[in-house]
Amino acid sequence: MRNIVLRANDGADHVISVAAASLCKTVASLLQDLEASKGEDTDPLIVPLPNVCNCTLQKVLGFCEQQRAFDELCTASPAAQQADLTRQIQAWQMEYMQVSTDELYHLVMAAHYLNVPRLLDLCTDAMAERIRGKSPAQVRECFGLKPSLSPEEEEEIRRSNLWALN
Amino acid sequence: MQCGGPASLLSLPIDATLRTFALLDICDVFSVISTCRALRALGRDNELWRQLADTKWGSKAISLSAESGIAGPETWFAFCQHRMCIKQHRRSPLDLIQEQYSDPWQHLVCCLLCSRTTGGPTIRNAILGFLDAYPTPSAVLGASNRELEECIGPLGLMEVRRKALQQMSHDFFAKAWEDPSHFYGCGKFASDSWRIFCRSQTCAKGVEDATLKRYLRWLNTGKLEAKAKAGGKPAGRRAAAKRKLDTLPPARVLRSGRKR
Repeated sequence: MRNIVLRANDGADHVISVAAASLCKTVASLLQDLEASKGEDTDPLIVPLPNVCNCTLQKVLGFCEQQRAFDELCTASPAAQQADLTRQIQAWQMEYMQVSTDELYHLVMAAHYLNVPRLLDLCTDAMAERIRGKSPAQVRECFGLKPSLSPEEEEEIRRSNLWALN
Repeated sequence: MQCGGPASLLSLPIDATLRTFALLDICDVFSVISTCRALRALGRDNELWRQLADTKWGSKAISLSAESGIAGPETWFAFCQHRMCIKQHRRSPLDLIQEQYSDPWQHLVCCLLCSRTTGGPTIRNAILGFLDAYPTPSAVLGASNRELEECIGPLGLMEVRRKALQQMSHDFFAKAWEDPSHFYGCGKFASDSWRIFCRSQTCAKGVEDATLKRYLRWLNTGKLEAKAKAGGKPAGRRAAAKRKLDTLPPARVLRSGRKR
């Protein structure tokens, strides 16, 4: 079995299982290409990730390994336990998403770059949850956005959005 | 995590941002696009509106619109603008069933299901149950005739209602329409109701349905009942109240009517 090494932008190496790596579509397709061109080979596959910092990479890999473990549990468990398992997974995901807004940004970018659809879904859900029910000023505060609209532009937005507001 | 460098909502990949916004309710989308210029520009992106439409109505309904050419890469915003329209109407003490549904498609479903019924608690529950089982037009379009009719059961006129629901859910997305009266099964009542509760148009001119008229009277004058005629005897008013009892079953209407 080939070893897969993901290298963070500070040079830190992380060895991951093929099963967990298969959740990262970018890595999975690299692996496929490599096997198609070189055939069976035991050289480790080293994937440098210049856009991903070490701590974010660790967090992403934690997700991949844990999801793999859950997947195996799901296929091995009888139907009666599936609901319980789903609850367990949701609880774990909720805990996993307890991150700062800054960490969330980095996680979104890494999940996007590595193409981990399930992590990206989780991240976009978490971001949407942080927006819901907030006023524009509260959204700005939460995401550290600078107000760049003039009062006239704000008024124009308000008017053009009347069809959906009070 | 300490490393990673500066990042912001604006530096995220555009498709991740669009996916996030497409999960939001319209009010939240407007909050977000009112924050700054960059996000305002995103609010005009037709792709955002296509995704919002998909989240809201499901892919079956959306592909109908795309295939029929009603919506396309340049027109999703206008498409949604016409079909989403969630102006907030005021809730009245009349507590009409339609007051509970301001989303236009749901509102029309409600009208089709409550027409020619008493509007009582059983009917309300049946409508709630229907929208629970079929929350999107895609779900309605994907269901078999038998499944739909079973769900409509308690309301009666199963076949008529089922046909109207299917046709409306189809034409809502596959046709260019101005007013719901263009839909099979949706008459003046549905059209007036949509105008009042989804468009917040409060002109009572031409409205025929008695309950809609009462709602508009309440909205425009703050009163539930029309002025009693001068010299009207209490007994006459009681008789009038009794007549209403036959036509206007929602319990709360009567209770608040009696208090007055």
